[in-house]
Amino acid sequence: MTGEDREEDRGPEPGHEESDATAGTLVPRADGDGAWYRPPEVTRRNVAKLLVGISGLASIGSIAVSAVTGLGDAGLATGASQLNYQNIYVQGTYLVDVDGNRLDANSALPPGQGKETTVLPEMQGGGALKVSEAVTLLLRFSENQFQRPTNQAGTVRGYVAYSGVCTHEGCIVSGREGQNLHCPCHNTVYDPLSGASVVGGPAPRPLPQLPIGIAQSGNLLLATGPFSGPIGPQ
Amino acid sequence: MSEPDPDDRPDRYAESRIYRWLDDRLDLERPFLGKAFPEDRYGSFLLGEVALFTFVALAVTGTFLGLLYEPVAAESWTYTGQASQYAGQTLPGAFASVLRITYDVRLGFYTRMVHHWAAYFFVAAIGLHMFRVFFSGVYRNPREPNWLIGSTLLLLALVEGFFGYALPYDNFSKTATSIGFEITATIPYLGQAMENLVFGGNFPANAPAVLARMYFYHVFLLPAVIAGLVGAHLAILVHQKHTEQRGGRGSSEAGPDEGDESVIVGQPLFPQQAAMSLVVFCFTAAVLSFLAAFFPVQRIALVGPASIFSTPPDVSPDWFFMWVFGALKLVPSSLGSFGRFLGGVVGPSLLIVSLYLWVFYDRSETPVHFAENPLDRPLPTAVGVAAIALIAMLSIAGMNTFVARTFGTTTAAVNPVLLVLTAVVPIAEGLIVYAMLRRRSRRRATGGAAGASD
Repeated sequence: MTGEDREEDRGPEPGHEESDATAGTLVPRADGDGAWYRPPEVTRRNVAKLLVGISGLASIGSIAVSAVTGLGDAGLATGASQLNYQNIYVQGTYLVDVDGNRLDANSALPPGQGKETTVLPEMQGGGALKVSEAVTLLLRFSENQFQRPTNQAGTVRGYVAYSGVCTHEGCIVSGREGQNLHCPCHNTVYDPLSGASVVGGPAPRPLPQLPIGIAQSGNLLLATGPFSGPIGPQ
Repeated sequence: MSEPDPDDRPDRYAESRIYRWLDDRLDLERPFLGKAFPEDRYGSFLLGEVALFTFVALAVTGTFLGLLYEPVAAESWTYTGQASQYAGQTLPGAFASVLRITYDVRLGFYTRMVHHWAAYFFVAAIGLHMFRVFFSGVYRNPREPNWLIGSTLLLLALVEGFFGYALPYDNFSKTATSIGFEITATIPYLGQAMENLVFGGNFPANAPAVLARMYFYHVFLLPAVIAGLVGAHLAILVHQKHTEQRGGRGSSEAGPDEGDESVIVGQPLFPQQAAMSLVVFCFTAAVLSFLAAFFPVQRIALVGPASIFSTPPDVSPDWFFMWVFGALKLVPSSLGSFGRFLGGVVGPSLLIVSLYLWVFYDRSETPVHFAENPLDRPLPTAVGVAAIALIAMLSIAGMNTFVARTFGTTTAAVNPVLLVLTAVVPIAEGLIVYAMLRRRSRRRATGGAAGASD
């Protein structure tokens, strides 16, 4: 090292010095190891300190609790959603594309190829309900390809519909891995031919199935009931 | 051994009236300009400075970006800039403002990328700085408070990263934020309350309210807390003084003994250490600048604005969240919702809590002022190595898509293997390190002088 080095005193080691104001009488420890200590004494000063401490904590605590719950309630006021799996689709809700057009069963998807498209429920008075809970995957296979636990009565002409919201962390299941549905977030793989059951990855539940049928007039796809279970992570 | 004379001030600046004026009032020499910075053979004592300088870079570039960014999730902005695929489209205000910063504002892309890389380096420098402190055992008495403050700074840096990721409101942002939102919901009993408290609404349904709040957190609340804690960290450092590495004093001088704990020997802050710090600052700035210029990542124009209809392929978090991402991916489907709580909340929290509690486990009753050789501390070093291995394994699991692609198989096939490795590798590495270091210390104890040669 060079002559320009700086030496600094670290100063005295910090000790535990007894303060005279709080010092009590020295008494030997009960375990008889020869050490002495000062037991706390019940003095007016100590009782007053305790009371000041309790009242201070109580006042700060009550304000903090009120403020925190107030913030939480305010968050809730903007956050509560009236939508759930039972009312996003009901019997007779038409399936529409993202632009709000109803889907013709003959032309929505080619038969038998397993292709998919994103559909949404039609709102009352027309137009698509564009919220993430309502995102639905419509796929078309051949009619005889479906296996249990697919709700076969809820499929029509090879069409099957599932919720597009991953039951793991709520991402949109927008990828494919061969014939299977693949969530890009954490790589959950669902088998659309077996009721969208989980065949790989961390998701705890299959995608809820939406039972679909064809309207008596106009060959249009519609829901024949609500989703089979809660949407997204629970 | 002679005590340094407190009044032995250098008279180098005696002719400077400004210096004398300030020194008369602030006593510059004693606590500040004369603060001793010990010799450091490895340069590892400078990692904390790198963290500090990246924070400065974040504040400066963040100010630039904050003046141009608009925290609006609603489709409110008809974009007319140079990113041609969005020309004439009405986009979320936040996304459009970041597009504008990136493609239409002079120096905008560069500034945004410096901010991005500085954020990566901020977390990395804090992490490496903590490795240095951990492995040399200098978090012990009397420096526990600074370890606790430092751990909090690491945590806040991660949270800053999460909120900052949300702000451009591209499709990656939306995905990451909704995952954070859903993880919060898995906390038993408190989940809903925490969601309301932290996010202030459902995401993405109430994105306008949530995004404005993320902006407030990211540009005001957390930076203010971080700046305050950095100040406290440094004030405690000045008060407690640095630790020293053994053998740095040079025995030929008429200075204090090698092992004298009552003094600290090093170079004064001004001018020697200040010159070194300036070099470190310039080097940090140069590296950030280089990366910003040649590695302009986060191309939001390619990802597109937040969409409720899709999740982009190969979506992944920033590197410092890759381990949490991995934990979420590894949890077996059979554990159900509780598995999501385990992977998203319990696992990461356990690691963070053990970071805080460690100083109360490995403690010293007497003050420690010398950095130790990690090889002389078998248990702490083994635990540190195991912890690093765990984070590394979880991060690899977070990239299981690429692992599967590399081996030409599916993620479903590699997940069980990664799960086993994540459990086994850290424990195995920890045990190996522990056994080897124990053997080393036994050999040194019995070998005596023979062992001193290595």
